[in-house]
Amino acid sequence: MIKTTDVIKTFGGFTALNGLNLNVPKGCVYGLVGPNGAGKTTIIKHLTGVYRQDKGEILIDGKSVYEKPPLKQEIQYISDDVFYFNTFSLKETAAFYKSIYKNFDSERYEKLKEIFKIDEKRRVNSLSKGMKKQVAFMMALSSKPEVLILDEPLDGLDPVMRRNVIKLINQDVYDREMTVLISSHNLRELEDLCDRIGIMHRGKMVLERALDDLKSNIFKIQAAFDEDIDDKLSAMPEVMNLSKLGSVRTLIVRGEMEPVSEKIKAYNPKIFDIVNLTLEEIFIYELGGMGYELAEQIL
Amino acid sequence: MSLQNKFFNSGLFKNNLKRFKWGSFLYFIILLISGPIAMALEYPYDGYFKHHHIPQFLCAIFAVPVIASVVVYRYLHTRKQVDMFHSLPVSRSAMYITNLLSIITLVFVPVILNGIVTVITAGAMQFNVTYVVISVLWQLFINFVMLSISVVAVMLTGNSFAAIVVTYIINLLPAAYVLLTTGIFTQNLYGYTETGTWSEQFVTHLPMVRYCNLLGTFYSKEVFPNLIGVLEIVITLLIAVVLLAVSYLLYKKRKSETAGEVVAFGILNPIFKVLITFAVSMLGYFAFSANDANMILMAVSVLLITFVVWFALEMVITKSVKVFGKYKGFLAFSVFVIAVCVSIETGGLGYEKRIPEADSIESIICSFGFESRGTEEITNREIISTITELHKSLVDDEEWYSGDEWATEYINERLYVEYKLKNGRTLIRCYNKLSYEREKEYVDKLFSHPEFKPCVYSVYRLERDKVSQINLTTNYGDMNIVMENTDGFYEAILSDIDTLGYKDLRYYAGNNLFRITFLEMVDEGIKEREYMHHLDYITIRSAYKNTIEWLKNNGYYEKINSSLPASITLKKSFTEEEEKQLNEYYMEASSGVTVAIEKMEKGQEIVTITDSDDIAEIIRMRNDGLLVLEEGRDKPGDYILLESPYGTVGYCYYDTAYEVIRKYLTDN
Repeated sequence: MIKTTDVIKTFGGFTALNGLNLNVPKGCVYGLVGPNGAGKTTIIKHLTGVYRQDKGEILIDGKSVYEKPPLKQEIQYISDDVFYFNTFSLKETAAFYKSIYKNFDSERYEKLKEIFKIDEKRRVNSLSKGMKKQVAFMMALSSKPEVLILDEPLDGLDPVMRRNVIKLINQDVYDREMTVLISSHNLRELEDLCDRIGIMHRGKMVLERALDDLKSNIFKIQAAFDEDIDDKLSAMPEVMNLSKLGSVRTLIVRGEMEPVSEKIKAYNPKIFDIVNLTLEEIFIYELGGMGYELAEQIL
Repeated sequence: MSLQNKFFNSGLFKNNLKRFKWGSFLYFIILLISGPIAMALEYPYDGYFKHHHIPQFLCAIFAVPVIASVVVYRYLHTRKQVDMFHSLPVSRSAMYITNLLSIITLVFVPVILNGIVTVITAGAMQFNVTYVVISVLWQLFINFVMLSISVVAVMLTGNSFAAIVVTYIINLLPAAYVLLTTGIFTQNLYGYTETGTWSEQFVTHLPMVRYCNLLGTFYSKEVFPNLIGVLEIVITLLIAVVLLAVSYLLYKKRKSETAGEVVAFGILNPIFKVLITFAVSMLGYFAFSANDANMILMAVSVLLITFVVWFALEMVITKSVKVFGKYKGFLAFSVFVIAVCVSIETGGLGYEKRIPEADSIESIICSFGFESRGTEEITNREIISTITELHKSLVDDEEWYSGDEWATEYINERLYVEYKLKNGRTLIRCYNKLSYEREKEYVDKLFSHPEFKPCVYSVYRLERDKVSQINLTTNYGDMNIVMENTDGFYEAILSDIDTLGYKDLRYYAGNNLFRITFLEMVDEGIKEREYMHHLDYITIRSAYKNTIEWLKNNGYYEKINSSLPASITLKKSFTEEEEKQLNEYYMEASSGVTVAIEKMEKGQEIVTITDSDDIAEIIRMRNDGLLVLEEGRDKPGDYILLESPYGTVGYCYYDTAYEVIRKYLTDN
């Protein structure tokens, strides 16, 4: 549904996107993660037609998105800091969306009003950050988009509203095969929501995979050995990271679980345990290998 | 049903009207107060057309279009808004055009509504509603022209403040450049004159300047087509449309990420920086050269100004104070600025010394300042040769023209010369300091040539059968005598001009006696539109004996003498020191200074003569050409001025004053 090929974007002398390739299948909830400055917001602005790439191709549903209003009718974008017209109430904001988006469903809007319970007459700009986000979801979901692009979407929402929003998104994904791209630093949330993950770093996609594949391909082994075999363990190509706490060695390992386990078990560990990694850990270890590591020093 | 296509989006249009209707309403209120309400309050006086509609035009020229453009396109200047707007399913073409139409609607509707209200009010008061319609059409026209400029400025910039500044820069920077160039050249280039250059025409045709010059006349039927022709209106509208088309292209080209920057197109940054810095540097050069500052001091000061402005702009553009690393551009630019200043200071790359060879000249238009109306092209080779010799003499004497003294004797004595060269080019020079004593040889040669005077004195070429009235006026009263008998009058004037030399023909303090104006009745078919058209004029000076004699013989001289001012005040002329002090006082503005000025001016006054016999005697002497300054005794402080309530009557000295004046001097 969404496909970018070798996208390059520079701002002055700074390269924000450096040959980015991204693939989001239809009906997929795609989590876009990466360190600050990786280029996530930049690619999102390209996907929503705000920016134009210097080089490369950006396609949604096989069509270039820039300056394509019919295609953009099918795309909704909720930014981290949503803009609303200063004097507009929720009702007026809805009227504006209705005048712009052909698919705006008034019945759906009425139903969403019941869920979010925001006074229609209140000026949107006078609402709290979380409530403004709720308004953004109301507008986006009422427009029944084919593609929903979210930048830090749940930021500012209370736990109940988070659940509501996630439920509503999931409903549209299941019912209408809506494609969702979410950029967030809250990896715990993405883990619950996404079925595909892309990790960006320095304007490039460093890893893009289904979340299940990703988790099955990288795991943590905790083991204790009688003798010092750290050199041997480190030399194994599958081992991404090795740390020790007393006699216990923690290894972050990439690859098929069975063959790697067998290799380690050959050193006769006293303790051997396999633990699944969280998305946050995967993120840290993947980027750790690219020079984006946790600081050793604590001030 | 909403109208959405490639070039228009009704949802966005309605949204704009809804968001900014308050601005339109406010504009309407201003128009209403300064229009029909003001007109009703002043009924039955129709002052609205002369005064009250001026605020409406000021709004159109300076405020409304720029505010409307900046406000409606403001989303381009803030990141949050541009993200939202450009993610909407509206093409940039539709976005630009819809917003433009919104601006036009928001601006035009109040003007039209106010026009309707004003027409109704004017109709009810039995005023001529045509004037209202004309005024409304002009307001729509000016609003459209000015908003086309503002929209370009909005497209070129990345933030709203910069957009407003750039709007005024586009409107006024060319004028500032032209005025600065003219000022610098006039000040520093010997012989430079603005006359015949494109600069004045250029400045007065810049929209903001042009419409300000026409303020107060827009209600009038005479503005169109007399002051602005249909062609100019059409061309202006075409330019405005072209500007809007350029803005459209700029909109399509501009990148959303430039929101918040100063300039939206990186390529314009150096142009913007260079244009502004150069203008300020030249302003500095102008100020220092006006004060005759030392060359080194001037160069250092100009460089300092250039440095400050250059890097200040760099900081604004880059939003950083770490700009001094980019010194190479500054160095190159500084060299350019200094090269410009030095080239002007050293004669403008040969400008000052450029005199065409007599052989290369096709014809010359020449004037000496004292009778310059309607000079004719001179083709006589001998005269052309003498003029070039005079020109060379003026240019060669560097010491003379580099001096800064401006004695009274040189005022109104100048050489204006316009060479039409055989290669089709024109060369114009004007020298404001011409001394008869220095240039006697050439000037006498010219004035004694039989073909010269008919060329420079238009009265020779006057079509006498067109003259329907001759007026005779003086500068000491409000008298205007209409001469009915003119038999032999032209001959008397021409015989004076024929026989007199430069020294007697020129203007000299006190020698202007009367002014003769030749008028033609112009009838445009409508009775109210008949008026007198000035065909020509000539000033009768004290040396014009034949003309004075003719006036005496025909009874006009008596009439002139019998028309007396109510009083004549004797005033001591200010010395140079006093003049300087007084000018300094005038420069300040406080009650203390006002008192000082009053004291000083009172101190200058000797006595006011009110005795009618004495006034008649003084006027008689004046009309005989006796109250003239002597050459060599005309330095400030030397003489006494005789002033009527209408103007200067003449001059005299303490020691040689005639009895009628001397008795007042002795008494006081």
